[in-house]
Amino acid sequence: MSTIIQTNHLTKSYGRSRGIIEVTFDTQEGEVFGFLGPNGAGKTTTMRVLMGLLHANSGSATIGGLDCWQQSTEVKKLVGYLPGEFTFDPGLRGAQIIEYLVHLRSGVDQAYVRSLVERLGFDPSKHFREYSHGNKQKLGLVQAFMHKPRLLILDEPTSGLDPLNQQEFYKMVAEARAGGRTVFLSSHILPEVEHTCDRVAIIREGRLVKIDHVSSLKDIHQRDVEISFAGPASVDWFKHVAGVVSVAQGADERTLQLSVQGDLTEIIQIANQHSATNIDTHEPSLEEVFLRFYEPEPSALAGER
Amino acid sequence: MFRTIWSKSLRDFRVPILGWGYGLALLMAAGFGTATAAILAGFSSIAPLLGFLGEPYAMQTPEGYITFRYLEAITPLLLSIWAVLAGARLVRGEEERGTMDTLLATPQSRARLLLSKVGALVTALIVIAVLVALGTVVGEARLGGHIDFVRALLAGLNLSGFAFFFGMVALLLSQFTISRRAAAGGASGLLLLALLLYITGREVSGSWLQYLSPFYYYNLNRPLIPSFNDAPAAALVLLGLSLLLAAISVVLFGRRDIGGAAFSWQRDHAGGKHQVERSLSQAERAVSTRTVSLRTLAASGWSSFWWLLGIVAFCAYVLFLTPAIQQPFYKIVQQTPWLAQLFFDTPTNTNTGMLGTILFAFLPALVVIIALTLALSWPSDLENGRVELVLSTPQARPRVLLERFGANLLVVLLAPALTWLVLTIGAQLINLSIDQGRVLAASFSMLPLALITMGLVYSLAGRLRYGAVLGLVTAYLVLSILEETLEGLVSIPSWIGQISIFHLYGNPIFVGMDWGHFLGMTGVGIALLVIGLVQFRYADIELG
Repeated sequence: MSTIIQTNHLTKSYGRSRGIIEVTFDTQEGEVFGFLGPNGAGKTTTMRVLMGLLHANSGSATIGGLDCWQQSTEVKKLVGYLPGEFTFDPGLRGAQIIEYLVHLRSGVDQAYVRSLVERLGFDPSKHFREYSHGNKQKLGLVQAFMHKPRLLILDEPTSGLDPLNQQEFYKMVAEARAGGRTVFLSSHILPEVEHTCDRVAIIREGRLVKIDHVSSLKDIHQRDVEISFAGPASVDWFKHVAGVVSVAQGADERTLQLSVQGDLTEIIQIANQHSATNIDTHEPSLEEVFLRFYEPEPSALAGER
Repeated sequence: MFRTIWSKSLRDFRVPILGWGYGLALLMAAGFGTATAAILAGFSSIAPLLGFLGEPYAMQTPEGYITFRYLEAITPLLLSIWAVLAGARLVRGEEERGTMDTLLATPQSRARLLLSKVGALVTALIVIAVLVALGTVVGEARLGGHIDFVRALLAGLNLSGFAFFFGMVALLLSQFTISRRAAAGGASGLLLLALLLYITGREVSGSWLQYLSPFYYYNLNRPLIPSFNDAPAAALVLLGLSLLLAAISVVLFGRRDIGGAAFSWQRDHAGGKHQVERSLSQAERAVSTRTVSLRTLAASGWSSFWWLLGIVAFCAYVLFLTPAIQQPFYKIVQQTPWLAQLFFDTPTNTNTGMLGTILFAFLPALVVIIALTLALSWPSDLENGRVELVLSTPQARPRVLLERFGANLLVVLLAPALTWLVLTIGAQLINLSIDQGRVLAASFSMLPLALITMGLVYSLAGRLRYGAVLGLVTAYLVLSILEETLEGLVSIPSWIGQISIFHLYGNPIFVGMDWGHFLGMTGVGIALLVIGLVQFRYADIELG
């Protein structure tokens, strides 16, 4: 697989406000890459820098080896884009908007456009101002997919879609991936990310805090382990063991609470040496993993105070 | 200011209140400054010829002169344009922005909401009336004459009352349209029709046409002139009609869908495959969706059509008047020393000179306003996020900007072309002798003015928001117009003349084409466009 998106120490600020800081990642051709983070974390800013709509203060971003700012016109031939806030002339009909964007792209297969319109159940005869949020989103998806781009950049693509159309969208993403195309999407719906994405990047307060395969994120879950012993237990038995993030006394002197990352084999062996009577493990869901990344850094909170 | 809908709406009007209030106050104060004995005598003599501007009364007094020159048609027309825009967006603006849903989600009745907004508009117009009165009093004081604040205030209130009527017309129309632009366009059309009826009705002596015009009822009161026999009932009728329009709007607004029209003219057909196929096929055949420039032309199509039709009508009207007023006007100028001095470089003894005195004194300003309204759609679209999707297609930024600019320029180019055509063909038809070369020069010399105006908007749009662009360019144009209007009457610093585009336009109708100025101003316009291109090259695109 070759790299299609590559950013290197990408930074964008809006005057005194933070945008994104030193964002570095790459996306491989043919994968579905999820971009996650709380509101205002920098997801949309990153996508708009990739689209050449914002000028980065420093760092670089390339798509298909082309510079996203200097060669943005060429870049856009490779990309289908759905903005987070889809806006257009309120007086134009859906069909006119599609046709206008078809002409601005050129070489679009009209039969494929019709199939997308039909597939999403979109009525193109209304004025843009008359569409509901969900119908605007369908129009946005039609124009993003209509030219079968090598790369799809989609900012919260299922926002406003009903469950049936969400399912249709997942199929479209799966078809795009099967066709060797790349999808770079942001989302707040974690099951959606878990089911559609190969890899995810998590951005918090403008900085990337994690990039990994979805499956790896599951593997690095921190598990909460509670061990009960026949007699009084000591935190010293575990605090230097590899993988133990924290250890504390439990409800009574015979119980210990551990937070463990990775394999539990050594923990079980030590517990056995000290005559453990019971071991309970609690595995957090992927959602809990994400939420942990979403929470603001303690230092940032202190700063806010 | 955020406690009630009334106070929030009034806050939204703060810039127009200051702009229009102080602007009109300045106009009144400066107007009195020009009311010297010589000018009063001169205007008294030519007033009968300028019957289309107003009905002269007590022209030998400063108050009569000010009423004739500013308060009879021009100022009410200008203030009503703002009132129309404000009335059209009073509730429709909130609906278009999508904020009406949130407002109505609070425990406010629709009637109360609309009346609060109407109340804010009334308050704004009263504040403007007070500022106009203050300007009048300052002017009277500078002239050393009698100061009558009550009469000045009544004149201001009469003016505001007239503007309020057209504001309410726009509010009512906005109940029937789903866009505020359509409502504002319709109300503006009625405003111009009212002016036309008033002018025509007065020109054709005793014609009943003038009784159909609100301008007639407005001018039955001239509070500034002590000797004029006012008819307060006329003002009350206008106020009553305004309140009736507001009441009908309250009823319609209370019954219709938010975002919808009071009566649905278009029934939505059931969806279905046939409907989908038909709309897609129609859009495929449409020419307007092929390029950015064609789309820009289509978007401004109707407004451009009305503007250009207005120019054609204005040219034809003045051309029609010229044979009747040219000789009397020439005689009066010869017999009045002050006028002879004012028109010393104007060949008022020719038809071409007459066209220059009446037509080309206003037309450049009109062409500049057209250029401004067209060009302002660029910063507006940028700010509202409407350019984002266009720029997500493989269209280079300079190309998108140049296509937009080019489409605007094409419409603006039609203005001088139509002016020249109407005057040339019209003169042939009514057998009027005019200097073809100078009419051509005067018509096409307006083009650089439009180019500079558009260039200014495009150069500022890369860095500033819509409101700032509008404010700066309008301020510059108002300064240019004031310089040109008051030049020779009041002392104005020479540097203002050097940067005023209307001053630089010169008098091509009298002296022929000034290629130096023409090319120089065209160069400035192109330079501003290049600045706009460079600014846009590095501009962040707004989200909307």
